[in-house]
Amino acid sequence: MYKFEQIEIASDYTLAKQIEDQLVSQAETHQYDEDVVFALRLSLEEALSNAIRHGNKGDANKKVTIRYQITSDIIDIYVEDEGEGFNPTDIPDPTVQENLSIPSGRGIMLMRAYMNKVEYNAAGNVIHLVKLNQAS
Amino acid sequence: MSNLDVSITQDDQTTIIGLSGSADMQEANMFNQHLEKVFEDACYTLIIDLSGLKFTSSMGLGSLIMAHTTCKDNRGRLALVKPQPAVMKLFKTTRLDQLFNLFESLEEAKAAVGKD
Repeated sequence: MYKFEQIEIASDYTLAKQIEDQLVSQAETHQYDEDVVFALRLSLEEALSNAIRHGNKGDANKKVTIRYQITSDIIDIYVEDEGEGFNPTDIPDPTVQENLSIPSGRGIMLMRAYMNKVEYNAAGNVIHLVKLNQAS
Repeated sequence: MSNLDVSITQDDQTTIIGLSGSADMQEANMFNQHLEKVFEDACYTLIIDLSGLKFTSSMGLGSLIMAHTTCKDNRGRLALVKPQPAVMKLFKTTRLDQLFNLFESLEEAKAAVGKD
């Protein structure tokens, strides 16, 4: 069993960006290739911005909690907000022709496309992201 | 310090926007403000040069979609030039390569948007 680190931040994009940079830097330390680093950065962008914007509705008094473990084998991250949650199946498929011009709603499909595992808890306020080091 | 550099130049009737760096959760709003200013000036024939753009989140993609829609609704055109492979992969993954007019060079884009 490996140990998760935990960080709690206010709903603030600058703080979220700092966490993103910190985790990306750790992945780079473990020599993940640039495609994995891109996938991690993209998924953190989507998960953290969704937590701040949609989960916590931009309320700076509400926290976003990040629990993570980054080893040379796996990147394993949970992002939790203090919102009411949502049902991810309610989000329309952004890749069908009639939705291509809609400017939002691509975050979840992108995380699913770039990570090995993307899961929500039953309430829909915690997302679990996993990326495996398939080169190892 | 901003992670996204935005340059705007005018070439006859076409506005050319150069993006360089990362269009992330903080920078997409700044890019939107630049676009709003361009549209306030009634410029609806745009070329966005993506050759320096290394990263974009879905928020940056949303900004490009809004630009595409605004140009189209105002009888203008939007051309995107030379996305880097990682950004092109995002376009293909989201099928936005089916929506956007993509070109390999600025010259090709200029020729395309200049057509009646």
